[in-house]
Amino acid sequence: MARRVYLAVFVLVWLAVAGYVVYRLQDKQISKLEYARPFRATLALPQIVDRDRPDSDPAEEELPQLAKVMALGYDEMVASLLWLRVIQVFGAKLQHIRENPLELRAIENYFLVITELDPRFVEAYKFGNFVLGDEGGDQKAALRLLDRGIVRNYNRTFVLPYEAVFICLGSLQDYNLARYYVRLALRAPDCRDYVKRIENYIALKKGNYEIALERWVRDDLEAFRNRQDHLVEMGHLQINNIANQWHGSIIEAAMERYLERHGDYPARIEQLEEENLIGTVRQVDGPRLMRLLEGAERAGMATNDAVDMIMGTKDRPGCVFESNRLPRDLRGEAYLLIDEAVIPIQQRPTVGERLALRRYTQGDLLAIRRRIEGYYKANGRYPATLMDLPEMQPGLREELKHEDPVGLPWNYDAKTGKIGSHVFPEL
Amino acid sequence: MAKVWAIAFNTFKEAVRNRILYILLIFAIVLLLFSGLARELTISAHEKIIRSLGLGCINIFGLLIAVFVGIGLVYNELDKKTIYTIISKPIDRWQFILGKYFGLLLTIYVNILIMTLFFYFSLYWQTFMGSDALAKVYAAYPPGQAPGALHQMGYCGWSVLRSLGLTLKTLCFFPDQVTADLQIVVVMTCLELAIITAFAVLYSSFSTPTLSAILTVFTFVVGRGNEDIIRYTWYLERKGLTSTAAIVKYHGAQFVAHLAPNLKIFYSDTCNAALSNPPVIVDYYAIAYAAIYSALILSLAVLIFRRRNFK
Repeated sequence: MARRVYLAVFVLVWLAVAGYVVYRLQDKQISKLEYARPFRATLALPQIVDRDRPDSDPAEEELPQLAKVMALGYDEMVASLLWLRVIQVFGAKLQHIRENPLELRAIENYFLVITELDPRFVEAYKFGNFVLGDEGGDQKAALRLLDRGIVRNYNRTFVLPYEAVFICLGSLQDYNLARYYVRLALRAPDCRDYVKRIENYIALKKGNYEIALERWVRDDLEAFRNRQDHLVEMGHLQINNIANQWHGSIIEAAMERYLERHGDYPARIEQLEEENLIGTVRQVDGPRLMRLLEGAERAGMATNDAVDMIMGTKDRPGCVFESNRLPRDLRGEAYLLIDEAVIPIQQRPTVGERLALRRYTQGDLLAIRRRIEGYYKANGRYPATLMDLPEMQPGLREELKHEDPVGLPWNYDAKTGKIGSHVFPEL
Repeated sequence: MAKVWAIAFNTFKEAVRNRILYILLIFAIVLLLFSGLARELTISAHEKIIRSLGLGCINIFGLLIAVFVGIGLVYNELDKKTIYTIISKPIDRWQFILGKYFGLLLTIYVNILIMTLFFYFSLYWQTFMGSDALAKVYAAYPPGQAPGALHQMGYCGWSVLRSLGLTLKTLCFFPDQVTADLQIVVVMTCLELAIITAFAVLYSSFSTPTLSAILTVFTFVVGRGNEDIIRYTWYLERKGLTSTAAIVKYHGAQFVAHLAPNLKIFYSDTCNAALSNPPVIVDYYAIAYAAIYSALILSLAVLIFRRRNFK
């Protein structure tokens, strides 16, 4: 009898103690959950995507959250099965997703459910971006999906903000947003070196030429220090490009003022300076920039000091200066204003780099003249038009039959077989 | 304790004669090997897909074995009257329940071991037969010339042996980068199934197999949805506990959430960490939780079974 009583007491005490411990552990787990995971009304009835409103945002619906509850903890497994499924669905509906917004919404739902189940499924965000944005043409939906991924993989991978950058630069043309995504990408530990150079490009696209130039000078110097020849070459090209775009914008602004004053574009570029239309603007002293850059590279200066020396400080002027004179390219050559007699008056003249254009035109003329001679030897006459010439040699531009490097038609005489350039008649 | 182990081994022997066990096991192995084919269906994230499908298969089939083999454990003894031959011996009822429990657990763990073996083998096999590995083999030959049939067979045989060796090494708790973290997910699956098995034994001690199956599956669903039940109470709280129905729902949900086991902390959380955010850290809290919870449920089973009349 006594044994039974002892046993009963033991069992009761054990049940009470074990029950209390389990309760406390359970409670601890629940309180941890409260801090760790944000609230969602997961068991509320879902508002399944409204097919009458294809423009509504499915991320606001509760279908993905319901799917998470229904997955019963097999989140990764269900996400993987849906991932396999969405690949097949995309393959089957490839032709229709652009035409039918509902098909696109259905595929978007797949991605929302997959990424709700497995928020760190980076490939799903990437593929979703491709399907919704590139194939479906809905860049905003693609950006929404990427945004979900960026929030859920914050500081984990640069890939998602990097993908978002291209949407902003491409279809949205939102350079501020692109810069924001670049900054996010740069925070990720796996961020590649090339991502930071996109910021240089954005600065250029936004018209912040001085900032873009400073960034490229810095990158060029660092590449030189690290003996990355391909990056040094790219840096020189980009510096050249920035200087040309910067100066081009100055000249174009002056031409607009000329057009306003005279109702016509100038015949010579020098007229802009003669009429004092350039204004006092900041521009680059190209030859000085190249001298300072090469000097810094040779001297092996610290990057920051070299950048200060090249771009200038308050006390010491660098390659950027203020002037009301016509800007010149990095070699100190004047820019070219294409002759208005060749281009219709309504069409806006373009600014090009004279030396490069001349070199390209010379090369193209040489190639075409050889073709014309070959044609004459074969047929005993010159071709009636340049289009009668046989295919150009591999590696040569096929378009050079139609136009010169400036984009103008060649000056061709079918009787004599002589060909020349309107822009560079001396060649 | 010797009596408990004797019953446990007998239960194990009895379970391995169960046909349903083999059907489940074969089905699981086929699915595990088939998960390798999923590699061909996906455009990226190959490893992740294979791992998530493989780990999911092991967990689901472990659960099915626990449910379908566990539900009839005690009932069959009563139904076939074999319980009389056992209780007529100097064996206490708690020893019988514990023996049944450990016997079933042993059966489940042996099955998980076999499934894990095939899963790891499949993973290693694919590292040797994947396109990257094969590209290296073909790269040794001049362009346009493929390896001969003998070489191909030799490479396949070597891959099988190497995969088997690496699988056995991993199973002896020496995981490498292919199976790193997966071992912990498998161990956590075992802990989760220890709780489910305890419930299966508990339900089997007082009800029919059908009802036991329903109750065990229900417990599993509630256990896996424990966190969502808590979220539901927050949702009710946010909406305002103004009506009686809302108050009843709120307290009912809170009660269920505290009573039912939180099963998400085992397989779900570790699988999530292993596949998306490695490395996985062993959660000792979960281990203690599984041990205490299983012991509590078994105590209840013993308590019910002690009072049961076999007439």
